[in-house]
Amino acid sequence: MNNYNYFAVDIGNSWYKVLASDHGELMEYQMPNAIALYDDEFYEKPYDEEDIELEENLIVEIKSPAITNKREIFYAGKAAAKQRNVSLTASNNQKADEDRTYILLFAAAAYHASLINPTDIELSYCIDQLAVSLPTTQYKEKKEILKQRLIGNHTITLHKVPGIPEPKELIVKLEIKDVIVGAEGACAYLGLIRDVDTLTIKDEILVKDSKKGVIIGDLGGDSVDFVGIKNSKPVASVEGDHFGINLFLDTIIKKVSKNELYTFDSRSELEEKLFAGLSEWYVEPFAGVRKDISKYVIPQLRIMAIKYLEHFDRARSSSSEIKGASRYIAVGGAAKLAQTQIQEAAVRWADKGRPIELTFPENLEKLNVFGLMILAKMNQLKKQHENTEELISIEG
Amino acid sequence: MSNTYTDYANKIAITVPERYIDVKTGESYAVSPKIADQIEYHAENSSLSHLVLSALHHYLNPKPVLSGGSAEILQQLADIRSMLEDGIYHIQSPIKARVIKEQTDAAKLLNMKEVEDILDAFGG
Repeated sequence: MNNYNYFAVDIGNSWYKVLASDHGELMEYQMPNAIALYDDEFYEKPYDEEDIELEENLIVEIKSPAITNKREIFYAGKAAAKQRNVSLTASNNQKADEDRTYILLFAAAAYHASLINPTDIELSYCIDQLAVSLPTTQYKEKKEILKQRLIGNHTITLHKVPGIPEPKELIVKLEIKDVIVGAEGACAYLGLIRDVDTLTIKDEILVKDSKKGVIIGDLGGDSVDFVGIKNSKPVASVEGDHFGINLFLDTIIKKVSKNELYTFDSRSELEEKLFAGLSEWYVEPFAGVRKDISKYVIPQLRIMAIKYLEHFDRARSSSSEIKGASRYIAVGGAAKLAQTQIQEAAVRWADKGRPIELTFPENLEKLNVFGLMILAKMNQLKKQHENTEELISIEG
Repeated sequence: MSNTYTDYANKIAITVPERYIDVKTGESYAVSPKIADQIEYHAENSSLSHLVLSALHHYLNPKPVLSGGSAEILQQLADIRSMLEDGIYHIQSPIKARVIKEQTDAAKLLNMKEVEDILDAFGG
C-alpha cells in the first residue's frame, strides 16, 4: 500500500487542507482558498530572495484540459491572499465547475512536488490516487464532473521561483491516475474511527455509538453540512444552508476597517489571528498602536454559534433515521474557533429542555482530509485486489 | 544523471553514475539512494577514502563460509525451537515468503468486503 503516491485535498471554502503520502511518507499542508490574477508590471522583486518562501510566492500557470482559461497566470494561496485584487470564494460557489478549484488544487500538487524534489527545475509527479471532497449539496450531481476533469495529465509552471536562476521557472508535469470523491462531513467520520496508516478501527466506542446513530455537523467557510451515521454508514445528509464562518469574518473585517482604520488583506489573515488565540486578537493600524479587536470578534462568533446550533437542531429533527442519535460531533475549522461560544450557546438549549451536547474531537479541523486519505488508500487496495483476482482467473 | 561528490580535504572526488557495472560479474545495477546518501555523507565528512576502502575490502575478501559446521547446527536448533513454540512447523520457501510480504499490511488486517462497503458508502 505504501508503494503508491496518495494525495488528499479537503477543498475548503476558506482553506485547502492537503495530505500527501509518497511511498509511505506523510506530509501535511494548508493553503488559503485565494487566487489573484498576476500582473508582471506590479510584481515587486523581493529584496532578499533567500527570505522568500515559495509558498508565499506561488505564481502559477496551468495547461490542462480542466481549465478553460489556459493563458492566465495567477497568484495562488498565501501569495494571493496578500494581493489587492485577491478573489475569495463567493457563497454558493460550485466547486466542480470553477477554474479556481483546479488552479488551487494543481498549485498545491506542484508545490508539494517541488518540495520533495528541491533540486529539479523540471519534474514529473504522479499521483496514483487522489481523494477530494465536495459539500453534501454538490456531491451527487458534481462528483463525476470533478473526477473527469482531474484525471489525466496537467502541466503546471511555477513562475518567479525563489532560489532558481533565470528564467526562474519550475515546470511540474502532473499525472493523476485515479480520483475518488468523498462527501464533506461523512469523511470526517472515517477520519474519526480509522487510523490513517493502518486503516484499522481506532475508536471502538464511537463505532458502537453509531449503532444508535451519530450526527456530525461540519461547520466550514461557506457551508454547514450535517451527516447522520448509523451502523457506521451515512444514512442521511441534511443539506445545510449556505452558512459558514466567512460571512462573520467579512463583518468583522468591515467593522475593524471602519472603526480601527486597519484593513485585513484577506479572510485568511484574520483567521490566522483568530486561531492563534485571544492574546493575538489585536491589530496595529499604526506602528506601536495596538487596538483590541475582540470586541468585534466575540459577538460575531456568538451569533455564529447560535445559528450553528439552530441548524443542528433542525437537522436532527428533520430525519427520522437520526432522531435518536446518541452523539453529536462538531467538526470543521470554524467549530474549533467558536468552541467556547458554541458551548455557551448549548447551555441555553439545555435550559429550553432540548439539550444539544456536542463533542469536540481532537484535530476536528483536519478530520475530513484524514478521511479522504483513508478513502484514497482503500480505493487503491480495492484496485490491487481486483487486479490479483483477474490474474488468478486468467491463469486458472 | 551523474553526480560528483568531492572530499576536498583528502583530494578525492567520485562521480556516481545512475547505473554501475559490477566488475566481478559484468552485470549493471542502479545506484541505490542509500549508497548515494552514504557517499554524500562521507564526502562532507572528509571520510570518503575510508568509505571506498572499506567497501573494496568487503568486496574483495571472500566471506567466511557459513554452510556446514556450526551454522548448520544453529539453523537446526532454531528450527526445533520454532516447532516447539508454534506447535506446527511448515517450511516456507523464500519465494512464498516474499509474496506474502508484498501483500500490504492493511490487506491482511482488513477484509476486502469491508473495504468495498466503505468505498460504496463514503466515496464515489
